[in-house]
Amino acid sequence: MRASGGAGAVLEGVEDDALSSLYTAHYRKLVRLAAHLTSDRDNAEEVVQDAYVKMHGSWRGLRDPDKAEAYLRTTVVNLSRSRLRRRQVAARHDPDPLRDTASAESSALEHDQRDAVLRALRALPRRQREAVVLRYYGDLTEAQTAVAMGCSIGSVKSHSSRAMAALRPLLEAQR
Amino acid sequence: MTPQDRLREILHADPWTPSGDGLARIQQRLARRRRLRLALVPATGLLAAAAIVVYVASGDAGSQKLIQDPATHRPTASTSPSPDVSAPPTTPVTDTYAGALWPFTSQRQADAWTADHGSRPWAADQTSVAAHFVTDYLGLSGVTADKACATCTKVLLTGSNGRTVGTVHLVGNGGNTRNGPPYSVGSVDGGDLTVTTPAAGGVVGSPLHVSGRVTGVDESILLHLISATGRDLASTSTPAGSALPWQASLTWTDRSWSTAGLVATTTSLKDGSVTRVAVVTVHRGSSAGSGFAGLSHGHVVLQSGATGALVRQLTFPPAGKVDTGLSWNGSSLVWTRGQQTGCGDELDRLDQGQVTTVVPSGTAHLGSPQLSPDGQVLAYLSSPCTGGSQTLQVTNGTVSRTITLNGQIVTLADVMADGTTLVDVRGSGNVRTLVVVGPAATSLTQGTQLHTTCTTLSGAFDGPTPVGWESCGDGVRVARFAADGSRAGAGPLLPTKAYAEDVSVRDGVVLAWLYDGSQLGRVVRVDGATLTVLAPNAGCSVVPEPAGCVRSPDW
Repeated sequence: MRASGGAGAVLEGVEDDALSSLYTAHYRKLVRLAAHLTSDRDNAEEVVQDAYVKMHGSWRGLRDPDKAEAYLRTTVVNLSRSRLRRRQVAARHDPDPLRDTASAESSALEHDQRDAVLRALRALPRRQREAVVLRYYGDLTEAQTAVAMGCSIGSVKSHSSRAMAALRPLLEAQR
Repeated sequence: MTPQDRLREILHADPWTPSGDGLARIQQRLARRRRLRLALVPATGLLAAAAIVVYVASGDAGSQKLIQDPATHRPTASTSPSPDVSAPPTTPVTDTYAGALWPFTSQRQADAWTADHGSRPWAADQTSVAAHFVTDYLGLSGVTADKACATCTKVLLTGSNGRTVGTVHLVGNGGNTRNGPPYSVGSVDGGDLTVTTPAAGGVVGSPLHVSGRVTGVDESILLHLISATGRDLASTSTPAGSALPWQASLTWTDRSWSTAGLVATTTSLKDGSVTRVAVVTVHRGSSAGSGFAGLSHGHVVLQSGATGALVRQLTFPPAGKVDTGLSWNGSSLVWTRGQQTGCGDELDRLDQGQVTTVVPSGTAHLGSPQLSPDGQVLAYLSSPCTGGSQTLQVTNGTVSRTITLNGQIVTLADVMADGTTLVDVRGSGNVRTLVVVGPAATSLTQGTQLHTTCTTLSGAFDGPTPVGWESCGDGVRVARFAADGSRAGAGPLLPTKAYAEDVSVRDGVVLAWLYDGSQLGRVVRVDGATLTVLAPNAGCSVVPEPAGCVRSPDW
């Protein structure tokens, strides 16, 4: 029992080193990705920390450690969806705090054109938002985006196209 | 530039940066999982044996599922609290010691030491600073300090049992590298004892809502707020454990400090020795220097807490709308926006420049919004436009509670972080009664009435203590009440006999809106026996309050 515990500890040490490397390489970008997907900075870090903890738990089952980034990204997408679902349930009792008001304060305080695009992005249907965030923030190919979203390349193309059609007027107005 | 390139540019341009301590949090969670796994191994063995017994006894192999299907396992929702809204925005720090606690809190103090370091020569050595911090500032014994690494500015604190009880993070001269003397303590990392609210460097007021986490079971967190000069300003203790969030509230009346350390410790049940210590540096928000919010000319304004002068307009209702009620906790604002004619109000909220609608416009009058000091709990009165009973709503964003008012005419005076409300019940002849309604109550009848021999009360919470503006035969005092509603004492007689329509307390200083019949009453500030008129409101009509007149003040 002692020998096996020692081997486990060594393995955990190796995993911890790998975790530290993966954290340094990807953490910040993944947090921003989660923030874009959930429109919620407060919870974005928790989403990504959850993803790292899950990945650590599945480390021994991960066939190719080089694919850890893709695993993390997919997990972040899935956990972000869960967060959004929970928020929608909560919003039935308490309205979405990210909802834009039509009041004059909004226009006074959110004067930046960039904010207008980000607001429009938040208003997109979830899959359309995921598609463009993964494509243009994550800089993924259509194939990589399809893996992260768990759908076909055709669906990615379709969602991206619809999202860009919705955002284009705002984006072209700023050129 | 194509639209795609522009979108890419916008998405990458976000200046927001995560807090940067994510790896520590992940490692803490993994460590907890490992400990849990080790603890569960024997228990799992027993459970498995029991399950096999059931399996054999039942003889129904098909109905037994002894192993959980991994596909059905879902991650548990994390419940770490939101960042402290009172934390100041991140700005470039020009004073290297601006975030430091002890023995220097500013570059000026460090420069003075450099000019004459005949006193406190130990400030040139990191380990010595940490050791002196432990004994001279924290007053702990049996804790030793040792340098954590050759080049970093960390010192490990070791308890009498030989285990690390905390890591001191030092601030030194030398810009970003911070590796030159003199050294000052910035914070102490308590490992799995964390203080999550307030944030390090946060601006705080009394009462101070404190929360954090700790592993282990049956822990007791001892909290002290100690000024940078070593004065013990406030203390409390709270049970905690099992990595669940703990929370507590600290109140103080001493306002002669600007920087303090919030010190959290746990001790051994066996011998009382310190097992963990965590320290964050906080700064005091000044009532005199900060402002109060009020209603003026149908919108919310921010006025100086010292002079009463207009600072700026906070809300801008569109045509046909008017703002009719508000609550301001010093950093967040909630207000009622209604129709100039007709029914249907909404509650809006302003946090750090962002406006959100927290209760949308519907078919009800929404009045008396109150925000808890930590900004987490919102309470308000709701009555249907079509008539029907008024109710008190209390929500923390995820859980909402309705309190029935049994037909009483009330205003809501205040709400605490745990959802306890203070309700101002109006009787005939302007006789008012204050009732404390607990965090689990669903009816006003379950509340505790505050007992006074005087006729009129208007109140607010000062920390956990209800206070009331008490008008007696000989004049007016600010009275304090115990948990059972009994009168626990009162302040000095005030130079007024006016009733208060509205009262709020921050940092021990009372802000009151006085009743003046058909005219808008004065807004006054009461500090001890000193009453200062902040808004004379001379000749101002009650509704609508004209420009330059202020009502319903809150701080």
